[in-house]
Amino acid sequence: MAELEVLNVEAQQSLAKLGEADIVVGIPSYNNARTIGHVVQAVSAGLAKHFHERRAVIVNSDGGSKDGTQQVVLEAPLETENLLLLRHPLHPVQRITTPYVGLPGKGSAVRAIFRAAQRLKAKACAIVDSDLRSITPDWIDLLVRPVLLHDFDYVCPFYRRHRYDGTITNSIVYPLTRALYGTRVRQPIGGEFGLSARLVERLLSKNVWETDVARFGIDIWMTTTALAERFRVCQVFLGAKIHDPKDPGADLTAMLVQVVGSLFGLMEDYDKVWKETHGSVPTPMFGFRYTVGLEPVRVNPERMMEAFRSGVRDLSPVYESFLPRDLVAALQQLAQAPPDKFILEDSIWVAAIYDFAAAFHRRTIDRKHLLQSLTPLYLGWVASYVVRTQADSDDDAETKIEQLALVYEQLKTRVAERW
Amino acid sequence: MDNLWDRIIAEPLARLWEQTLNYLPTLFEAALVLLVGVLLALIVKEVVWRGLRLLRFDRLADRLGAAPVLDRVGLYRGSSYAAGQLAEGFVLLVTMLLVLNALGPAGSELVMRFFLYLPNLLIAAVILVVGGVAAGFFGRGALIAAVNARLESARLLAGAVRAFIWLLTIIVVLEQVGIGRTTVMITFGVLFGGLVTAVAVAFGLAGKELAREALTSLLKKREREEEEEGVHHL
Repeated sequence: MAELEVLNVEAQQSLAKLGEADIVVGIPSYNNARTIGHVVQAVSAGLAKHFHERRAVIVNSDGGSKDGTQQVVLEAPLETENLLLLRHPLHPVQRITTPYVGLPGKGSAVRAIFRAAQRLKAKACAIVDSDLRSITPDWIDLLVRPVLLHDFDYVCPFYRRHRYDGTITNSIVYPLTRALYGTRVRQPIGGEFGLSARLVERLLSKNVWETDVARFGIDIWMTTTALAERFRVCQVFLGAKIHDPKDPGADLTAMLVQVVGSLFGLMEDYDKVWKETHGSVPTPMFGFRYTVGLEPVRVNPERMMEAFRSGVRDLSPVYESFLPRDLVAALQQLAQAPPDKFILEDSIWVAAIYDFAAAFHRRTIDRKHLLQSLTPLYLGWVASYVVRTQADSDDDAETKIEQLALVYEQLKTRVAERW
Repeated sequence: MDNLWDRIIAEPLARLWEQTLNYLPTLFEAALVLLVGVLLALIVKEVVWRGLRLLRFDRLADRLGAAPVLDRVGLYRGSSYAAGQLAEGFVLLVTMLLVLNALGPAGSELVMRFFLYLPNLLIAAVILVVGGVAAGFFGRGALIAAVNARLESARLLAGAVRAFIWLLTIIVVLEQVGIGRTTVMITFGVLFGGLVTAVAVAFGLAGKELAREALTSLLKKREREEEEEGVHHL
């Protein structure tokens, strides 16, 4: 019955015709006509090159694109003549494009892909974003092989990213997930994943598809579920992640609310797990690591500092309702700092995040207001990180993120005490 | 002369004395009811306060978000204490009504009128509380949204939202309790209508070009600033 809600009749008929498959590669999309053709070709080439003996299906789950995305998927050439393959594929790669049913967002698109994988009895399922410019056929091998041949349940990407690319991941998602669940997954919301049939089954059984998980929260939800429920997790090195410029309509506060809200919500679901977890362990890594050139990112820390200052000035009464006075005082002190001395100490930032999590749990103020009020502080962290790393090498900048992650681990008792 | 003295002074005094003597038991009865009521109110307060504290009511109420509300209205001693005070107030109110009733027909009349008016007061109190909570909630929401949108006058905007909701609430409350019904409605109508007309005229006619330029410049500035920020958050 639930299946009818997720896949439309046409998609079900197409899947019935296909019967079964070993691998399903899903591509969620929304107005990605510019890039999705390249992604489909790369996926198809990867399947032909690395899994020529397996039956594979590409499933595009679309959110009602108006720019002909679905047409591009159907018309993308999948020929393999120019790939110089050693073996000709036994089964031609099939493709399906279908609009998903449910709340608009990546989560609903992924749900439809999971349903398709379940219906096709796929042994492995991979998800790749539709706005990728740097995807290569080898990504499919890296995302699928650990599941098919090494019994891993969840494959996370490991990219080389510019130090100012993925700052929500760097400041909150990576270090907090690591501290909570004791596993070091560097890109918990990377966008590309590999999953076993067992994990797909488990994720589909959960009743979360009408929540923020259906939107931006899907990636962190999948990763947290895999980590907290102790599925076998690994990372694969995918090189650089270059994607289309961000959607200008994508609002930072909305992203923060959905990602951090999902993270905090999951802390409630798995509080027994994280309270009993101490320290962290590295995750197995596959793939040859190499250095890549990264696109430069222009940053304007002064604007972010200004956002922090006005936030602290105007929102202090809000912060005082759930943050300790000394913490608010420290934030106010930083708001007075000149640009070159604008350094948000790791311990203050981590304490604030843990207190936000505790206030979220205790519903000290309305949850949406609480999460929305994080935006100025987050911009303050980004500005401070820019100031601290401007003269650093990439490795030094990464070391600072690792130091931050350690502070998260050290101060974890703070959130447990306030929970 | 004696007759005149008796008629003007002595007889009324004697009647007053007699009436006072007759009324004294009623007065004592009312004083007794008052004393017992006040004592009972104090006992009820203590019992409710300590009982709820033993049952860890404070923690439960805090989890439901009562702490900031109590802090704001000055009840720092916790939710159990606030509940105790509420119970005390209720017993005192009942005591006052009993005292009035005990004072005779005039008191009974007052009690009757009070009870007839009570539903209006209760509804008005509920409207006042709901309005206060709504003003706080929407004011805070507007403040956070305005700060995140990087508006210069975030606090002013939030204050305006709060003031508007309070104004609406007070008008509805006054309407409910029947005070200056027509005057309040006319004042609100004139104020609100005037405000809307002023804004419409300013942006619709006189300031059309100016408004367009201001909005265009604001949007372009925002786009430029977003481009300059460069950071990819996710």
